[in-house]
Amino acid sequence: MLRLESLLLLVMLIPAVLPLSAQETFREVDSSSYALYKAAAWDSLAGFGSKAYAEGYDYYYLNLRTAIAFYELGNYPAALRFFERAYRNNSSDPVLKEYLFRSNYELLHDLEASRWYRLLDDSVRQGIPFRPIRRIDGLYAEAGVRIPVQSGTAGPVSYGHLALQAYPIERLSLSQAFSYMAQALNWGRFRQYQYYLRPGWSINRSTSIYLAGHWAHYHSKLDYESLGSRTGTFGDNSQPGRQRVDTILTSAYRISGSYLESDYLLQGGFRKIGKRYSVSPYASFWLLKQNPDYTESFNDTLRIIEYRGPVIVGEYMGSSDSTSTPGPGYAAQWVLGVSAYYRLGNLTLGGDLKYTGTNEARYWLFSPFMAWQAGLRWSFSAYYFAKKSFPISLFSGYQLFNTFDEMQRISLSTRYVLPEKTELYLTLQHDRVVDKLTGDAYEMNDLYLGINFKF
Amino acid sequence: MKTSILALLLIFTGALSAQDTVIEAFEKSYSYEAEGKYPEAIKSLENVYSESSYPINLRLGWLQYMKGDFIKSKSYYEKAIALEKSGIEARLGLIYPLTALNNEDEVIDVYHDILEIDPANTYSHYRLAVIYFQRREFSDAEEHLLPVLRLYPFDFDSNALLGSVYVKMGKINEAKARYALALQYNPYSEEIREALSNL
Repeated sequence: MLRLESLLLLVMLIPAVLPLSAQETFREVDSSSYALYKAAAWDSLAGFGSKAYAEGYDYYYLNLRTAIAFYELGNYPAALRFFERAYRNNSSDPVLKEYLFRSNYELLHDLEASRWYRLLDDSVRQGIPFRPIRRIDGLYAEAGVRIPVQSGTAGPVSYGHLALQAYPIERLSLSQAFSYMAQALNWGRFRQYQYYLRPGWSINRSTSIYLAGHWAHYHSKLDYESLGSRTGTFGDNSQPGRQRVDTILTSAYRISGSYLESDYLLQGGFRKIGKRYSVSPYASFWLLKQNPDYTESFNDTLRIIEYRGPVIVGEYMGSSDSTSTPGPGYAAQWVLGVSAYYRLGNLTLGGDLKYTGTNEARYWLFSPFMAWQAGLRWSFSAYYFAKKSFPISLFSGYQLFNTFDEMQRISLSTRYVLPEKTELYLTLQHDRVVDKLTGDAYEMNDLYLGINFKF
Repeated sequence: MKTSILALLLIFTGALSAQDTVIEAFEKSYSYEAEGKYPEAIKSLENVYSESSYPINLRLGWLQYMKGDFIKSKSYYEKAIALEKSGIEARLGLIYPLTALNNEDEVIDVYHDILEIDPANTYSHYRLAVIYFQRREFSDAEEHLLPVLRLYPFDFDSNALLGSVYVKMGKINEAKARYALALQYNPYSEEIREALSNL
């Protein structure tokens, strides 16, 4: 009934108020714009309010009503202009602040939307699923220990990681990370630096694209020697007169020098986010530049002894020596993959499926992950992956495994949000590694502590 | 010579006559205003309107405000301010239409302009304190109440408001002291008694 009255009033008013004439009085402008607002006549109100503003009517309620009309019509740039005018008139209205937040949000102006979001009352903020950002948004630092289970094969790892998240301009996100790792193993020691840069661009509220680059500088010192012998027996000497041949093979493998490797990963993809899901197909390309400066030497001796009964009737001995000094080389690898997750209440289940090709073979890999939000402060996550002797990356190229070792990892993390813009992380990992160089298998238990400062 | 004297006489008489007309227009505007006939009061001044007349612009600002045309009222007050840049009279007038339009930020700007001209203007300080209190900007409210209370230490409204400001700021002892002063001024204030009993 009220609606019908409003419409009747509107019908009576529209001929009088449109178009706005220069002789219009404030009262007419105000009552007409109010009637249009009450009747939700957004098209008419948007036009009327714009003309009134052009005529010099610049006051809070008119600007607010006109802004709401544009907002309801989905014309967010015009809505934002009028909301900002209304805010210049009167900055104390909390409803206006919420509209300013929502208009900026619709326009993907997340930096500006965040500014307005922070001005909203707590009770309003709690009802809006939005994570406010800043130009320099967060700094994450992580360090920890990686302790080998088999200490004769691998030593503990020194590890440090720094990451910076920034939003330099609206729509553009920039993730950077720097990692350092060093370890002593039974064949020598290595250290490596990694730098990650990922610019991302929001196309609309649910779709974004990114191009990630990950560079690694790996340097190892090699000093390893492997001695071995094998024996074999053919024939039967259980009875006198029967023939038997013994074979004895001894081998020595030695490698010494240094090895330098630079890895360049370029990964591009897009991400589609729904209310409960996210799908992110991607393609990546690796280039490995190898600069070996080591020498490998192989020394084998072979002794064959032929018996007739207990009597040696023949003996042969041989040996071979070889040395190799590999030169610089390149290797390439491509990956096609898709990451996806689905949210079931507080539980998120997902995985990363990739198809990768090297010069030797093609592989399918699947790495599952899950996350559980346990209240406002605690969350837990886990992932697993296994790989053969080729490098892979996870999480939009953020984690780079540029080792040629075979590897399996299970990782468990927990995050605790402190009240003052700080998050604490604890990560436990277990790795099983088969060393590419020596063939030795070993396990590592990792414990990392991380702290994320939100600005 | 005769012609010159005649010309001067005519000019002087013309000037006197024009001044009389303006005074007459003001007189009429007061009569119409007293009867609540604002359009007629405005019309009488519009007949003698001069862009450069501070009193006419000031008066039209008020009459347009009373008529309810806040945009025109604002415009006349702004013209008056431009003519007497160091005056606070027209600025205080401008507050009326700006308040009616709910252009609160402009109201704040005008009060600050007044305080730049007259830093001891207690009215502006107090009104700013009220606005800041409503906006929950309590330290700004305190900042504008203290100058009022330096000049009028026993002022009821300022002590009462500062008491409420201190409650919101968590300064309970200071709030009690301010409420006590307000209650000494007006021992019958139920509002202050209730506020004190809640502390």
